[in-house]
Amino acid sequence: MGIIKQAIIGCHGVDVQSTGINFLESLVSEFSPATSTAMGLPREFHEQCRMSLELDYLQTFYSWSQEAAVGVTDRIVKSDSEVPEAKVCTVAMRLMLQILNWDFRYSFGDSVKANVDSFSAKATHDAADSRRSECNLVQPGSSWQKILLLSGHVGWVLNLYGALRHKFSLKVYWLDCPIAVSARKLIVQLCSLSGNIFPADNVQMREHHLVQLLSGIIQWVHPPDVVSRAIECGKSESELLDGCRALLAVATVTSPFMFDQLLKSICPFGTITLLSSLMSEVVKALMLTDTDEETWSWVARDILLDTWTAVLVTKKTPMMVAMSIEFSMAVDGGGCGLCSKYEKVRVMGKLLELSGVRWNDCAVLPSESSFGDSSLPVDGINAAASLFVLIVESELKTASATAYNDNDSNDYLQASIFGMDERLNSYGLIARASIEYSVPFLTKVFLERIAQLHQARGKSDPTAILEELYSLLLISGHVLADEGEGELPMVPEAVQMHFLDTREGDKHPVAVLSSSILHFAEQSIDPEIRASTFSPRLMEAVIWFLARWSRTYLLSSEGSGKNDSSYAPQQPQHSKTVLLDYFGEHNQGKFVLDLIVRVSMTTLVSYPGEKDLQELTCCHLFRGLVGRREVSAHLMPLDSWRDLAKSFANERALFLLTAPHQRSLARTLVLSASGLRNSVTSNQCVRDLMNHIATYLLDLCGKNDLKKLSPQPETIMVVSCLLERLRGAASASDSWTQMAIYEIGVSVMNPILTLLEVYKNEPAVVYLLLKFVVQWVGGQISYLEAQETATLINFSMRLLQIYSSHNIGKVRGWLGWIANWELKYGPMKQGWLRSWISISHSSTLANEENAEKYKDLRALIQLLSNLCSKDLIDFSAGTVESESMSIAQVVYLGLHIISPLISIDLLKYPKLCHDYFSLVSHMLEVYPEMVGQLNAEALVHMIGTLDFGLRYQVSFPVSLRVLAGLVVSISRELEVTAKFSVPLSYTFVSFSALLMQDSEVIDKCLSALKAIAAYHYKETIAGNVGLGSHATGVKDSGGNVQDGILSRFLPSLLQLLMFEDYSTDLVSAAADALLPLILCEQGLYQRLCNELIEKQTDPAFKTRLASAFHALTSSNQLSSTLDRINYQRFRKNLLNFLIEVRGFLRMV
Amino acid sequence: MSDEEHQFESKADAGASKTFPQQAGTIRKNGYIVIKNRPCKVVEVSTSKTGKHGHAKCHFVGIDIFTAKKLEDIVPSSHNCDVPHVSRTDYQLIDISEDGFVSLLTESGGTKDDLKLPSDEALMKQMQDGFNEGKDLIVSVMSAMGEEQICTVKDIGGGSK
Repeated sequence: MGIIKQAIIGCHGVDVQSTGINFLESLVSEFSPATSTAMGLPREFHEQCRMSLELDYLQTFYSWSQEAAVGVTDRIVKSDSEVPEAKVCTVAMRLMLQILNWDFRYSFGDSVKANVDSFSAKATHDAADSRRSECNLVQPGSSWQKILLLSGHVGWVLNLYGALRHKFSLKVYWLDCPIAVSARKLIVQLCSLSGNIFPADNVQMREHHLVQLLSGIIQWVHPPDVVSRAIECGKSESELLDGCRALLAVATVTSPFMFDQLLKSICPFGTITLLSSLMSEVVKALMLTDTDEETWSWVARDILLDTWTAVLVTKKTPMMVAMSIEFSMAVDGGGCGLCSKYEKVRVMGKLLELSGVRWNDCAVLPSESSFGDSSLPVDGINAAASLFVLIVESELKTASATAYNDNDSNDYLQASIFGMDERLNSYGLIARASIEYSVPFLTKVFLERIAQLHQARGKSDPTAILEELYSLLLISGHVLADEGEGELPMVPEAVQMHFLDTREGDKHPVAVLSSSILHFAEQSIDPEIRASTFSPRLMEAVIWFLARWSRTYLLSSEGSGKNDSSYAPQQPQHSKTVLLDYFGEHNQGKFVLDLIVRVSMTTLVSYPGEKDLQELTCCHLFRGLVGRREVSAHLMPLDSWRDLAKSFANERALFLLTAPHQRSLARTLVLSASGLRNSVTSNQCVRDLMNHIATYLLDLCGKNDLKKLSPQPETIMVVSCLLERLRGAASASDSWTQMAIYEIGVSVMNPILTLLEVYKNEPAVVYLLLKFVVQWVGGQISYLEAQETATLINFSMRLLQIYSSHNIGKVRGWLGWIANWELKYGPMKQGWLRSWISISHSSTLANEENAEKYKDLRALIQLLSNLCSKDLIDFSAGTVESESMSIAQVVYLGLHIISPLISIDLLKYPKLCHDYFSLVSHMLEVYPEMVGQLNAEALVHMIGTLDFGLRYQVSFPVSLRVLAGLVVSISRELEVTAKFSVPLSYTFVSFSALLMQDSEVIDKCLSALKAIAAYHYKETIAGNVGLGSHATGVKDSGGNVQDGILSRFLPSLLQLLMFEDYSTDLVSAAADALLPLILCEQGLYQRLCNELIEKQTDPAFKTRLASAFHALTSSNQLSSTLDRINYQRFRKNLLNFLIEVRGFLRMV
Repeated sequence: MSDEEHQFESKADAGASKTFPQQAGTIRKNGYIVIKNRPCKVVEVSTSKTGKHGHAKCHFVGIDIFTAKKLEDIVPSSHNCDVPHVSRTDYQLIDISEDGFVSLLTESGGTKDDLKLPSDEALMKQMQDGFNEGKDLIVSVMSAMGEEQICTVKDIGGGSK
């Protein structure tokens, strides 16, 4: 230590000094993240070093580097040429930055545990850090106050950078030289300082700190026009960008009001004005550049938009922030204060979900007015308004400039909306901050463009105007309504809080804008105008807008539409009520709904082949409409909707929609029928809708020349369409329409079995048949009486038999290839290689059939699971037990039929694996006694799959990491362009989905294991045989003694728990499985424990392990019964055990 | 590219009853399509637009079901494409003659002698080996647009698997 200190202070010259600092930097960076480089030391060691560094050394290191840097500053500042001391200063600042980046954990005054919980510490860290990467808050805790705030540190670094700036002209230093970059980074990092380093009772200190920083930073960005011009002339943009980042950091740690005030104390204008003028310059620069390359103005725009979001989001939901702050105070005694509001809001959201309160309900609790100070000041609003005008102009200019660009496939509406979403959301926030200006402005621009369009019609090419309208629709949609993310969005708060003096609905600016867009949309119904104006792309935007808008405003339950004239004009609710009434049931609501239906009918019929447009209509707009009871109740009575239903049932035009859209349309129509809330009429509606299907299928199957007719493409197409429709309808079964859907299903049962025979060589049709049955059974089973259930079960059984009679043995195909390979060369050691091959092979043409089979099998498993659900949810009057066959028997029989088709390799398809294990675990949990009755072969197969399931995750993350690496390296070679990045990110998303599923699979396996072990234990205690020979071990055909199933799983489960990677969520499930296993196999357990203890070389570890094992089975008054309390105790014991031992058992 | 897309409508002649017109937008991957007068299995479909405000076009990549050659086509998605009528029939193999022709047993009890051994080497070898070992082989014959070819072989008796 002493030597390093001397070195750093500069006793041994400049070179040694910088080496010393570098040494410390690498020390800090090794222990800064939760993971470490491979050193072959136990995990616990890493955590201990981390804690010790944070508590005892970081401050010392910081002060050394400060000392070193301050010591050389004078020479740097005074000298006119570059001096070696500059290097020392640079590395010192880098070290400071590294230290400030540290994830401070022990600074909140928690009682620090002596034994580091390396087990759960890692997990919590991962969860907390997964979001908000743009701006890291620095929260070192109160002990750092002296060194960071009181020692003039900020002043020093600002002065240093100020001095450097003066030297830029001398060419010794330049904007992007290392010392300048480090200094700027340090300044930005200091801006995000927050937490209890600032005493709660001393607001001035915080303010002073930020003002001081801003006074330095403002020189980098002010005046914006001059800076921007200088950059256009070739000056480096890094200073401007760092300035923007600093503003983002400041905005993240302050309230909007405080943010604005900060600058006012040193300048004649507020920070928001600065932000606005800065943004304006950036937008102007954006308008001038028309290259597709990413320029500085793009980067700056994104950072500044983030800053606006940081400023405005807190304003948008003051309630939530307030609650979250109160919450955080309550939780950590006011320790954090404002520090990590995002974290707190998220926690708050979780809590609200748990308590059943919807997010939106909480957002409208009537106390916004008390948060007046968190809203924007007046000049802030003006700044936002003028900025929004500029943004719209810039977007329109870009739109018309790019209107003729060719689209490549990923530039479609969906993709581009999702891609632009973040930007549009920020635009929306800015517009809402100045809503009284922005909405009328949007109306004005929109009407102007429509007038231009009318003028241009027939005379000149309207493409540029169309593209402008497209942009305007997207922007307006984001301003007026929220996406909702699966919940019903509320009228945006800005709309509620403003326009308080508007009494008539039709004069309300929001209604005016909405109506003009609706009116525009209506014109698309006229064929002539449609042909000349409404391009598919524009129509996509129209439908997208209608979908988004209608979810918020149309026929809302809150708007009665009656003029009850009980206005309380100053109430914030007033503006909302006016709007919702205007578009409510008794006013314009039904008229607008009718209009929307007619427009969407046009898109379905008059835009043949425009899949994206139809998808938006079917899956986005319609789903939103029938998803709300208030709206769906009004659909069926509408003439236009009934027209749609009629043409669905009788005309061929709608057969041209692609399969998923057929399905979704059928579903929508059935749901709208149940919206009537009257089982007689609802059922009749469904019959009218669906009868054509049954008629056609019965007719087809009755034909003599079915064999000749069926393979013809037109027959296949119609059959597929009808099956998709059936599937959609079946998925919409609810209590109102169940009757009709059951009847339809029964009437097509025979045709389905016939078609399954006929189309055995058409995997796509087979899959559709199975999927329909799955949906139908799933939707119906809980409603059916005993007799009907029996019909259903018999039908399912026949289906299974027919399917398996055609397919046994076919599935293997190339999987046999792996088996052969393994016979020749021994087992493939790398699981990932196998899975890689299996994934890549299954996607090739030759093996497409296998992939289809996999989908079939999955459908069959789902069918069995659906049958099982009768045990759990049953609305029927009688019981099924009276029937000759119980569900359990059926499902076991079904499993017998299916399991020869399922191989371990097939289980590597994650979804199949998941479904299979949910079924198996359910069966074992509910009917463990059936295990005893299974024959040995079936049991061995099932146990084999369970064993695989337990190891599932262990092999996969590794393989995924390798795969991810492969993908990355391949894509690098290909020089990934933006084009590739979409599929790439999808790949990663699906990878992570895989990982998510892993733990579920293991969870399922564990509960299955628990079920059999617990069953065996309870039975043997009671003096019965339990699992009998299966548990004690059997001789297989070769005469080798196979271990009993329980004694096979005990070691593998222990191995998993102690040495492998897994999610901590699994611990309680594992405990539940481990306890009965230990109780069943006590002797084996003792032997395993002793072996493990003997293996430890370090005597300290030996004793720790021994006592941990002892505590596992004896602490907490654990008894040898299997009741709830005992399970709970054991869960606690196991968690403590793992926390204690995994730290030193696992090497890193 | 854009010249290509109009070629299609004029040629409905090729085996008119053997194909069926279907809207391009509804043809899916793994379906069949006629490209350049050849029956193909669709292995890839992508859509694009002519300019931002133009209409959608489908880009098909197909594999000729007989020759395994790759073919491509671009069709406006609202237009119709020809979809071949592809059928499979199973026959039992009776004999393989010296000149590479096979003799098959039809369902009605007659023989069908106009087919050659498949051009795919692995499949041909599998057939010949199986036949020489005296196994009972079922071949399935794929036919489309007036062409026929053996596409799979299944062994139903005396096999080791």
